[in-house]
This record gives sequence, C-alpha cells and structure tokens, in this order.
Amino acid sequence: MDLTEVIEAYLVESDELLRDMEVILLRTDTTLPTDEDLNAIFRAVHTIKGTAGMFGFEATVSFAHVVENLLDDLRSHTIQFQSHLTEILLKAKDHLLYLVLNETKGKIPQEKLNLGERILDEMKPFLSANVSQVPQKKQMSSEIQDQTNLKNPNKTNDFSPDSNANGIQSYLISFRPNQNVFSHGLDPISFIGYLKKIGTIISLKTIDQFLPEGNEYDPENNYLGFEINFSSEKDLESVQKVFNFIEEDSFLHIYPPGFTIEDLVDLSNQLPEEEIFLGNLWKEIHILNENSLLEYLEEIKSRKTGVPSASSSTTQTDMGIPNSSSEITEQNKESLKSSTIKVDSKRIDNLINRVGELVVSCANMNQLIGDADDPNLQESSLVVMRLLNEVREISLKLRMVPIGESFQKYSRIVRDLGKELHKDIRLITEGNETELDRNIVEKLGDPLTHLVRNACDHGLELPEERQKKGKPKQGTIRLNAYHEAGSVVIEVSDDGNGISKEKVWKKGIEKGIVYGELPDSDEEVYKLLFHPGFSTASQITNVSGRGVGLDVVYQNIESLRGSITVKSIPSKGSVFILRLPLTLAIIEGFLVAVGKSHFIIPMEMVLECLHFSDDHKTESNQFFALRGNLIPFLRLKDYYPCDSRSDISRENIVIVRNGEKKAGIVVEELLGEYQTVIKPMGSVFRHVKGVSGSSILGDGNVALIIDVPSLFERTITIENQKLFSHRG
Amino acid sequence: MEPKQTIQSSQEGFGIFWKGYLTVPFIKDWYELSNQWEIPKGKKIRIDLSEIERIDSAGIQFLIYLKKTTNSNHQVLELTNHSLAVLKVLDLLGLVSFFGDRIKVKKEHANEVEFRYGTRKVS
Repeated sequence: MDLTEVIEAYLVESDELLRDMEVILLRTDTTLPTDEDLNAIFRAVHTIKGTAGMFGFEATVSFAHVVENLLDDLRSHTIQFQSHLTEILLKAKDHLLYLVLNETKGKIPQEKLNLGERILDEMKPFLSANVSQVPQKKQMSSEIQDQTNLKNPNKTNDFSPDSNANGIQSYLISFRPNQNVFSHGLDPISFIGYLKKIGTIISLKTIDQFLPEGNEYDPENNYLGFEINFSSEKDLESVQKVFNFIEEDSFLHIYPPGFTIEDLVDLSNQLPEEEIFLGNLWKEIHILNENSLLEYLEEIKSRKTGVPSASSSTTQTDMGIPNSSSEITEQNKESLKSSTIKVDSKRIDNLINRVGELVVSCANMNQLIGDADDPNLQESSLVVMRLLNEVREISLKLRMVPIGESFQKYSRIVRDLGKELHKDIRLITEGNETELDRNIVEKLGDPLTHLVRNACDHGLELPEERQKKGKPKQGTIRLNAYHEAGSVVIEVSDDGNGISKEKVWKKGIEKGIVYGELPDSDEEVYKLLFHPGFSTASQITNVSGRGVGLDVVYQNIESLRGSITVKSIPSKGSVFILRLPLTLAIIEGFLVAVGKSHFIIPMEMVLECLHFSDDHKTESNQFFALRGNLIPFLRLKDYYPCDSRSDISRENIVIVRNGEKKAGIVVEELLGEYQTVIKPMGSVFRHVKGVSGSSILGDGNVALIIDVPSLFERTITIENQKLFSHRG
Repeated sequence: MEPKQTIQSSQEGFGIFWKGYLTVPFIKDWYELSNQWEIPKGKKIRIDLSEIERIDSAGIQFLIYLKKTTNSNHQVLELTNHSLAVLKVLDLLGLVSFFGDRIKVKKEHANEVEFRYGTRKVS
C-alpha cells in the first residue's frame, strides 16, 4: 500500500472520529454525557494520537495527548463534567482537526501552535485539580508520552514532507518546442542531448499528449514536449545557454535547485497539460515523491477553492446502508460497518461514466437492431437493455448518501452563531435519511451554510423581541429534506421575523432594479433578494431582514440544475425551498424535435402532451386555453434557430411544471421517453441560458437538454424588455 | 538519404524494411510511404530499423505517431533491429517502455547507451 493511501486513510478516519466527537459534544449542551459518550470521545482522540504517532506528527501527538488525559480523567470520573468543558472540548476538537489536516502537509505555523497552547491552558484548571488528587496517575501518563516519543525518535523525516519542503535539489526543465521548430531548422533532441555535456539527466519524460492521430497529424510539425529532471554543478545561466538558439521557438522554463511545491503549482498553470497529469509526471521523473505529490495536489485544490483543505469526506462512500439508518441500534451499526467497504469516489464516478457511455451505445445498437427486423435479435437486445437499466440503477445508487451527515454540521454553526449573536436557537433536522448524489451533497454545503447563517443572523429576532411578540424565547431553524417527483427538496425555514415584501420592493426601486407598484406575485418580489446588486449592499440586512450574498446561493443552486423559491409570512417566519435533481449524471428525458433539431425535456417536469390545435389558441399568442385555464406557452423554434419543417401540419404542446406553475412548450414532433447521459456543455456555451447540457442520441446526433425554469425566465425577461421598449 | 521501403507479407503480418534518414527533410516521404500500407486490423507490423543511420525529433515523433495510430487500429507495431542512432534517441528521450520492443545492443555500442530511465525497471 503506498503512503498516499495510508495518509489518506488517516485523514478520512480522523475526520470521521472528530465529527462523531462533535456530535456527542453538542448533545452535552442539553444533557450530561453518558459513560458511553465519554468513552467514545476518549477513543476518538486516543486513536488519532496513536496514528499520528506512527507517522511522527508531533504537534498532533502532543496536543492530543493532553486532551486525552483530560478525557481519561472524565471517563474515570476523577473529575466531573461541567458545561464549560463542552466549549473547551469543542475548541480542542477544531484545533485537532486543523492539526490532522495540516501536519500531513508540513510544519504547523507558530501562531497555530500558540492557539493550541491557549486551548490547553484553558484545560489546565481541570487538569491541575486532577494532578493534586491523583499525582501518580498523571506521572504515569507522562511516562506514556515519553514512550510514544521514544518509539519514533526521528522517524518524522521518513514521512513528513521530506527535504523537498525546503526546496527540490535538481533542475526542473519544462521544454515545449513550438509547432514550427522543424521548419526553422531546429532539432529539439540535439539541445536535450547537449545537456548531457554539462550534467546528468536524472530522468526525462517525453509528452506526446498533443500528438494527433489520423489526418490532423502533419509530420513536419512538432507536437512533442519534454519534462526533464536535470542535475548539474553549473549555474542557471549555463543551463539556460544550452537552449539559447531554440528559446525563441519554445516555451522553456527552467527552475534551478531549491524550487518549491508552490513554484510547481505556478508552473502547472502556465503549461498546456492538466495539473494532475503534470503532478504524476513529475513524480515519475522523481521531482516529487509520494508525499510532496500529495502536497502539490493539496496546494492546487486550496488555490482553486480558496480554502486550505484535505477534504477527506470525498474519498469514501458508504454502500448498502438501509434508509432507516436512524432506527438501527448501536449493535447493528457495528455489524453493518464490517459489511461495508470504502471505495475511492473517483472509481465510482468512473464506473458511472462508463455505464453512461454504455447506455448511449446500447441506444445506438437498439436503433440498428430495430432496423434489422430480426425478432430474435430484438428480443435479446431487450434483455440487454433491461439488465443495463438495472446496472445503471445500482451504480447510481452507489453514489447516493443520506443528507443527514451533512445536516449534522449545521448544529455547530447554529450553536456558535447563537452564542455570538446572543440568540437562543434550536436546530431541528428532518428527513436525514433522504438520499442524494454525493456530488450534489458536497456542492450544497456552501449554499446551505449561507442560508442557515442568514436565518440565524437576519431571520430570527433577539429573545426579548420574540417574547414581546408572544413567541417562545428560543427560535427554531428547521432543515428538512424529502423526495418529490424525481427531485430532492430541501427546506431551510425559521420562525423569525419574515420578509417584508414592501421593504424589499422599495429597496428594489431605490436600487433601480425594478419600478412600479408592488406586484401581487410574491415570487417576483422575493426574486429581488437573489439579485447581485441587491445583496452586495450590506445595508439591506436592516431593511429587508435578509442578507448578503444570496446571489451566490442562487448561482450555486442553478449550477446544480436546481431551483430556489422563497415563502414568507410577516412575523411568522420564512422558508427557502431548494429543488434539486437526484443525480447529475443521467437524465430521464422526453425527446422532442423541431425540424431536424432534437431537444430533451427533463421527464420529471413533463405533465402531459397535447395536440396543439386551434381550439387551444388564443389571440394573445402567449397563452393557451387548457380545460378552462390559461397557460403561458412558448415555441421552441422562436428561441433556438432550427430549420422548421414546412410539411409538419400539426404542432404539439408539452405541458411542463415550472415550479408550482404550469407552462407549455410548443414543438413539432414528440419522440417519447428517452434515458440519456448528460454531457456538460463546453466552456464556450456554459453560460447559455435555457440549456442545461447536451446529450448524444443513439444515431450520433446531439440533443440539447432544456433547462425549463431558466428558459421561461429568459422569456419573461425578453417580454419585459419588449414591453418597456414599447412604452419608452 | 532518400527513404526506401520494402514490404514482405507473412501469415502473422507484415515485415517492413526501412533504409534512409528518418529526419525532417524526408519525413513527408516516410509518412506517404506509411500511407501506402494496406494492413488489415489485428495484424502485426514489424519494422526493421537496422538501416536507419540518422533520426531526429521529427523521426522519433513519426515513430510515436505510428505506434499510437496502429494501436488504435488494433494493429501491433513492433520495431526491431534498432540501429545505434535510433537506440540513442530512445535512450535520451526515455521511450524504451513506450515502444516496449526487445532491444539488442551490440557489444561495441554498449558504452554509448545507458537506459538509466524510461524503462520499466525501477531506476
């Protein structure tokens, strides 16, 4: 087993243990911890200390050691649990998590070590009481500590980021000759060969990633690149001189010995290859080792996300745990644990991608078999399709995780914010067992945190204010998840002040986003809350009762193909309702066509299909009559340039559900249900409104997947613009 | 030196003998010669490189291209009897494992190649 995996396992395990520890500690806010609880948190810290000791992570070991002592005294009832300890232990847990995540990457900065000292200082009063009571025991503990240290006297160097942390001791040459070097009479190999005259090529890797196959290959163009690990006594200038004549015709980057992981990340941003590809390549040529590769990947990740993270939760997926996990007794849990295996999430993603491809190829095959008119063949293809569907279902389920796990962390946020804001807040979570694609759960973290913080900060009133209104002093925030018609709904609600429509609308007018009278539709007013200009003005918090950055929440949810709606009753509270697809990979769609262009409407939105006859048409050409109701509609051909076929005599209308409203989409042909793999749009088209992805049909044609809510939103915007320009 | 190609077909595939400079000035000719191959899928193509006296970046790139293309055509490309010039480039660019062919180094050339990296052996 290589070291990366071992460290990864340590990170995952520690993260899990500390998360459990937090859950237990949060419970102690209301009830005293049981012996079982104390044993569990002791075991958590003890296990982390043990593993950290194995790797020689000293900062983690020495901090965990003191915490462990305190917990040991608590579980043996040498000292009594006091509510103040919850606070300290929560801080200790946070600090321990920080140490675990960061010591694998390098030295812990002094300020963080000082923070650790301060936390330990807070524990001292409890510990010193202990010392005076049972001096012998204390002494014993410190002996154990000495032993732990002795066991790994200098082992640190083997595992902690090695000497590379101070800089890598050879030259790294990244050499990408331009495509046209040959025509300038230059031969890159001769320059590389010359390197051998001034030093030793420790390792070299030829990159042929961009060498095309087939007709795109022009033998007179250069497509190769080189990464060279080079050792030499000569200075940088001499090494650079080797490439003097070809420098102008190349991308050339030479790092002299002593460069760092950060330098590599900078370089990877300038090179055409993917960062991960480069990381592995540098490992192959011995520029990086197991540890520093991990460090390099972490650095990339933290630059991308802006937060230093060693996200351990992404590497595990639980399989086969029944839905009703809350009902499982502790004993059963133990036995279940042994029957589940941890799988790298990338493998599952890979599997799902492959199954997706298989679905597409099978659709293609089916079409061909259908044309062949051979009943036997058709029958066996049906069997294959049925089996494939089962495999698809099963593999998609592999990625499903109950949302409860991620709900858990909000208890902490609510608790901390409550203290900070002097509010008494209770968090109730419901539907913890509701399952959702792990990728979605991860991406939901930020938006949900935002909404929960908002509810605490702006939604709920101060206790005195609540009392005056005749509400209970304690405010309630509720997180609720449930399945509804092929999607998952998550509600974040509070019993606070509610949102004043008038104030929001007034502010909207002040900001110049809207004008006119307050509309009847709540939706139109609340939509303002997600307007970028609206939220950046922090003053809004005092006016509307809703806070900063909701536009980001909106964008996040939208990028998950979800939608967000708000409901609010003044002085009763508000609720933010998020609707999300179950998975991002495969879509059950309804295939329609306009001319030769194909479109897919997500199945869960389709209510019914009708022949769009003259009876339905109204004069407005924006609404049609359906069983006595007026429903807005749009024609797909008005929004996407398609070659409409003149021979189509009848049009069809697909009635879709857009949130809680109905709307119609007029198309030429209905082609039926279609199960397909979503291919993301290329970066150029990513911001196109009204389309959420594309898909390849069995016959190789591309179909666009319609993003119904945004299509209608776009329609409304266009109509409004027309209306205003007309007025103007 | 102008490229020369002779092809011999056998049951298991095709033996191709190359003679000439595998370098920029002739690379287009080599490419065109390779386009003349009419070799069905699943067959082996064995190229004898003993008479390649010179090879440059364009030449080695062409060999990489052939390896990749034949791979995706479900054919097997085998390079044999590498001349010293070819061996030196494979050695320098760490491409021995990439091609995965049997390498024979003559005694008198033993000091001219090292194979310190680019082989599957742990260096």
